[in-house]
Amino acid sequence: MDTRKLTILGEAAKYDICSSTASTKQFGKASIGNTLPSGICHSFTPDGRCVSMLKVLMSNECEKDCNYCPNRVQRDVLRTTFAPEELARLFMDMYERNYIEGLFLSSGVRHNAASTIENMLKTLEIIRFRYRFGGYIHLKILPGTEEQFIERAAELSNRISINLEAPNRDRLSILSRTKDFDKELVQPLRSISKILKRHPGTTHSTQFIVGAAQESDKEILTAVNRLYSGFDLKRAYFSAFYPVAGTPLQHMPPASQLREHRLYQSDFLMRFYQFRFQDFIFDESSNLDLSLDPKLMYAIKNPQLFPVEINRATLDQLLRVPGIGPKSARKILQVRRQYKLRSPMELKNMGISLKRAQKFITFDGKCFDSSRWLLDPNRYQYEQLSFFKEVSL
Amino acid sequence: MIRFSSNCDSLLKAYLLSKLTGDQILTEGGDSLLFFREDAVIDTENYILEDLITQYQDYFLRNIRWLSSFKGNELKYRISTALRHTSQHKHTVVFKALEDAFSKGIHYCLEGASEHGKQLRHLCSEVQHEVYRMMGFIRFRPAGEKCLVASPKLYYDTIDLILREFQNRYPYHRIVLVTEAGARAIEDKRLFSVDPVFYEKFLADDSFDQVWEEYYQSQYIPARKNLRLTASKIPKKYWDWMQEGKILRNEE
Repeated sequence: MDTRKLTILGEAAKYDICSSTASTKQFGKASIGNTLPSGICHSFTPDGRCVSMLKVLMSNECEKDCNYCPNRVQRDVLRTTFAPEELARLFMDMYERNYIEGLFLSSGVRHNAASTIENMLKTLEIIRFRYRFGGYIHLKILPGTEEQFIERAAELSNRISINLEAPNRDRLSILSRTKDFDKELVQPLRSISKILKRHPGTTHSTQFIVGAAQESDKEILTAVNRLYSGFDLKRAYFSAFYPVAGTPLQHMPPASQLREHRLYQSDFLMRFYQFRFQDFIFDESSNLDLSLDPKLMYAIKNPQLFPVEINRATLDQLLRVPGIGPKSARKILQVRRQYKLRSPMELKNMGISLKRAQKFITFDGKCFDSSRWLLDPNRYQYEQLSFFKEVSL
Repeated sequence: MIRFSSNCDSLLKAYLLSKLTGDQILTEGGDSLLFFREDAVIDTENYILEDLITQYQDYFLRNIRWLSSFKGNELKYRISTALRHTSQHKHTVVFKALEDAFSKGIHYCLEGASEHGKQLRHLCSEVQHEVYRMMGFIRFRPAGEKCLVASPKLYYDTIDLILREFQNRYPYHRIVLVTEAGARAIEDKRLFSVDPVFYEKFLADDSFDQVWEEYYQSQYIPARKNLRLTASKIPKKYWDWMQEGKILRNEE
């Protein structure tokens, strides 16, 4: 078995972040494969990322010139393409052995978007109809894909996605000269959003490269907020830029992973914590604070809202408390129906981080921590000095 | 003394009997029953749960009908799952958690607000976690037409739960899991034991091992290396058993 093709096309797809296989969409008459609302992780690479799908490109031949991309047209690398039949069989062999949970299929733009996506759809048809596969498939829509192909992709997949890469037209122009932000990315996104109304169960997502186009967090979150409210986006992914040798951005410093993490935290706050875009605090350069997470930052900037009484606070109020998530907030509401919470230990037993939450809550009016810290979080950091390095208290 | 079997109904009956009779539950050291007179031992097998619930309500004037509600079923499910754990103290934990549920409310226990509720949830989630992990970590080998075999590394009594989950994924296959304790299989939603010797020959190396290793390595971004995160997702106890474990060890 010659595995070189898989290695080349697998490596070419590794920067695509999405690894979720959660889906509720069912395909009737399946002879193999199913989906679960929670998804399954089959392995984790040494970088800690989940390997849940066969994540490959159909082809790494690409006409586009994205400055960050390892597959850009000007880069001198080995190019290869899967035949639909070949990829479908490889996928089914791996699925049967339980190495993977589903297929994540993307591609470089080979000749043109239409012929490439046609090949990708052919692969999906073989998997769905010949092998009667009922499991998870995520198909990446290529820039400029026409509606008819998107419609077919929505029928055959559990999730489709198109990568915006940059938050707006100006930022994209820094990354690529050949990609048209409105025509090739926003227009297909609009079509996806419209088409998915006819395909309940199929969802769509997008991905941003963070730090490659000198964009600010505010620009990214503005775009994400617009996508959630106007395009029914299920989820946005963020990938911290890392320079690839042989690309125009090879000498640019890599973006901080902490910045990527802060963007994910903000994204989760918008999706699950009822935070609005206006609730986020940005610094003078329109970026999120890297030293404090966005929820803690919000609490510090809004001291008038805290502390909240744990036995009377509403779900909305509880969700604003650092250290309390949607699951924990609902647990508190459940327990409160029959029993009055009296001690921080009860919250700790329920899985709530007391270290973070205690300053912001009271139990029957009693606060178990000092809220003075809220006035200036950096002021109360003490250091024990020692005359000799080896001798300390 | 109250003697019970290791199943949810029997534990519930033992708890209710202890409240009604004031007798102690024999949670550990079953052999010491030899020192008791036969009529001094109450066996839960001789009682019906519904009768005990009625008696308890009449005697203590407390409504415990929640035991038959959705939340009661959730508690029973949690107890049954926790009983698959290998912990020696699981019965003690269950009885103390039941005490919390009866005295402070079912939600107080289920949401883990009490120490024992938390311990019960912990036992339960460890068992569930093993099932979830094995759904991803087990690698099958084809063993003839429509038959798949694997040799999982299990720490708890979860083999039948795992087989049931796999049956949904491979509805027309026979799935066989070979463990140190023997081999179990599922086919057409029917669980049964099989001879492990017959399937051992299929568990040898598969040509797809190399395909997987190549693919796994192609997905790694060295600039983002974070072995601590990986070890929290694939605990080190699985590294010798999993194929990619040796790659992870080399990265250490």
